[in-house]
Amino acid sequence: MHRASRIVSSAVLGLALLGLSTVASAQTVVNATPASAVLRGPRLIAGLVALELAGRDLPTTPDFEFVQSFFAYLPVQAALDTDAHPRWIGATANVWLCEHKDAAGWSASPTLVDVRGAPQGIAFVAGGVAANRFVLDDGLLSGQVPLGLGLPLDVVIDADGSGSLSTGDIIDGGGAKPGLWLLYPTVLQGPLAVTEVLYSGGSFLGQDLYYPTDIANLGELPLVVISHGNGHNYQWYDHIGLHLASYGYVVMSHQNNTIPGVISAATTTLTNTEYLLANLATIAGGALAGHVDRQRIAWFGHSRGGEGVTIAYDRIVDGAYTPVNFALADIVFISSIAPTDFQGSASANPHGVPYHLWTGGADSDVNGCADCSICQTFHLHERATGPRSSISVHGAGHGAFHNSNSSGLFAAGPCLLSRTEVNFLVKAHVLPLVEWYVKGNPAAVECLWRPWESFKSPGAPTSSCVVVDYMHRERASDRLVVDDFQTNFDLALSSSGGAVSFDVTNVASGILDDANTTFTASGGEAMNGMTFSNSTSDDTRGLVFDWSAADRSISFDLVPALSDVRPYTHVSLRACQATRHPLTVAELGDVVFTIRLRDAFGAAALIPISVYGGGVEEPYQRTGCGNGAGWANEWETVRVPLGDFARVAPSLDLSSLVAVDLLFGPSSGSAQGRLGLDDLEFVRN
Amino acid sequence: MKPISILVSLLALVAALTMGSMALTASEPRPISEAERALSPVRALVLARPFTLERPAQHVWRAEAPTYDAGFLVVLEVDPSFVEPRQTEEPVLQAGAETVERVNHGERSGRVVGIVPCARDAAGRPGMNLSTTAFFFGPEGLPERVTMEDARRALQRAVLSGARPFSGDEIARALERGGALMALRSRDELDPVAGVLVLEHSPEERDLGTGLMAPR
Repeated sequence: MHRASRIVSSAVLGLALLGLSTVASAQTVVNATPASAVLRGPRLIAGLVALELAGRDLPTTPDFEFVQSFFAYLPVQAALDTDAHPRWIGATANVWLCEHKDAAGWSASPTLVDVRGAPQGIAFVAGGVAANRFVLDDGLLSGQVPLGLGLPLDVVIDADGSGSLSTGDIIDGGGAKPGLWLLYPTVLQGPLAVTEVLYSGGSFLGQDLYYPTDIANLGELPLVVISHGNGHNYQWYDHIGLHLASYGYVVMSHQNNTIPGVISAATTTLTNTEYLLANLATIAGGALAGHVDRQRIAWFGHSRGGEGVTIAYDRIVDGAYTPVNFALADIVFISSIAPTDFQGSASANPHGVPYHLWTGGADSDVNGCADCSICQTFHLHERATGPRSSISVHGAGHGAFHNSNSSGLFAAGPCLLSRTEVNFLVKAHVLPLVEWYVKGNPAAVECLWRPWESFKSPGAPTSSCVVVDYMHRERASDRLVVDDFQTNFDLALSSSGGAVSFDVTNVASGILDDANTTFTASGGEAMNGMTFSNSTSDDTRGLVFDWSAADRSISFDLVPALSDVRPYTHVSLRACQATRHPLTVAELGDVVFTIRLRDAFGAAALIPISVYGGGVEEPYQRTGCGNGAGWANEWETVRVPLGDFARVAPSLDLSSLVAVDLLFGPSSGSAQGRLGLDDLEFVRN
Repeated sequence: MKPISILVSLLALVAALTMGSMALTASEPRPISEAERALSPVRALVLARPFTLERPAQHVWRAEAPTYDAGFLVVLEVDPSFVEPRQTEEPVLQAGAETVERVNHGERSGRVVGIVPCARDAAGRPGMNLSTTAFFFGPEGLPERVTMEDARRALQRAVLSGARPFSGDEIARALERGGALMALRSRDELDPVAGVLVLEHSPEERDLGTGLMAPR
């Protein structure tokens, strides 16, 4: 493709499919002939310009990040790139923030109605996004919707001042997706009143049920099942049950047979799910009959129960258990809170179901130390072959994830978080988690990977001790993998077959498993602090390397099949600092580096990862498990929007990339550090 | 070495020193003495109540998961450090060569409510002879992984380490506290009774006790 063609986001592509014009044709559509509208159907408005407008300020170049989700009560911003669209320089136009409508909706009702009461006039000037950023809402709008999460809004620049959406106007949204989602703070209780019922169907069939009181008028709601851990109780998950039910979920927490072990716990997950579904006509007086969506079931488990839910799923996959009242495909999501790993990959295995993991850095029970394979939570996450996410919370103990003060925190380490703080974090995260994985609500997905430092719910704990890291991986069809290190073990070759060159030091690739029983740093132990794999059957691999006081790099050449990244939205990787390593200790802070994209015509664009909020987090400074401070290597996903690269270097051709470079050292970020690296890829968010 | 392992080793050493060269067999243990009891992680049999089940239940606390239709609902006084709940492996409570279903944890009360399954005797009553049954904590593990053979070996080691049955007087008092034989239709009917015992003997575990008594 000619290099003048530039990336358009997937949202824009979606609009193109719906008949709206794309960025590439923005300069011509104002005077477009009606023919295109005729071709695209009479319902659609011809000649609209689809652009991303909503986003947030960045402290340095690229100055602005276009994003889709915003929390209510915090500022919502927008920007117009007048470098890319110079005809707007010197123009003044009204900017409207409207309820979202799809193309047909706008065509049927094009009158602009601003949810703020009135539009705002903006005078556009030269200087690109940096000079054309403005506040759409200063935190005055509420994002509350009757059911679910996210108020969808479209942003319109009314080019002709007609007060109606018409040819030549710019719109962010207006297609299958809105321009932005305004999220009600996920920490806060939702809009629905909740009924809680405690009952038992017999031995190990005690259940604590939460559902919207008005369920009779809400249709079929997804079911969330919670399987507690050993020494815990099924009545200790009110914070999740009341919270999710208030947003339109049926939540059932059940008595879990954990003391005998994880197999028994898995059995009670199955029997309790069956019991509820088989007795909807009588439980809670029959209030749930006809109102539970049997095809959208999520299993949550804590500790032994967290492993148990994966065992239960595996038993169905293996044919060892045949459900009566549901099917394998009806389990659409599994989430484990600090799970054990007694059974290993043959049994404790989420397979391809979307999976999520919660890990507390201060957990003194399922503690993650190198000497305890059954205590390493990440094994289950790494076994998940489908979409997956994780959240790691420094200072969170094992018992902080339930809500009973009659039980200890089971926590060790500095800067411990209270149960109240962790419960708030759980509420803030669990809602977008199920909204995305259970309901497929796109408003929620950015909550699963955008850095905590720059994107969190109002009302979430703000103590400096609250440190949160995410990992997030899309389904395979939304990923273009450059290197996942699972094949082509030669350091000079990526898993996708491209050449890899580097001048970073002490480079090694291998299975991400600490080779001994401590986190003590040792020069000969490349994978110190890694806890992704058990020592027998798991095979998650990655790269480790370091640099010190000199500029260094790793370059991943892209094979031709990977050169056109326009269908994707971000370049993505996951990284961690190497715990207790002398360079990590010397740096003791977020490690920052720069990502550079190069095209076949010699153009390049580079962006430091710190622009989007922090860097690769330093390990939680917990002692024990050997000498020194720093707990298990804590991986996090790092993403940079591809559109930002194109804005930094307008000549960069995203259809003809030849390499991704990772630049380290004083000129590119942190002067020193030792990192783990995995899953370098382009993703479609 | 973990603290609990050290404790077990110390107990074994103390027991060996105390009992000298006394000959013991796993099948014929003598009753526990007051001095030994003070050292034992299972310190007392507080209550025992026999029951039968019309519909047999499955004992998933042993790898073979056998069915049973009789047993004893017991309350034991234990060393709390042995029942501190963990997600990792814990000492497995046994009654003779059988694993005990622990209804609660008891880490603060030091009281464990348990279900001891057994076969019926010729008269149709629980066939286990409490006067020859030693209660003890076996090696750390998951009960569901403990086989009958494992349990027998654990019993032999426990007896060699000093585990003994409770005295006849103590058993009699426990049975008196427990009350008459409960003829139940199913295992489900044990839960509310066990729930009451949890509330009485381990009130800190109120949620567990009330949960077991939740309406059916």
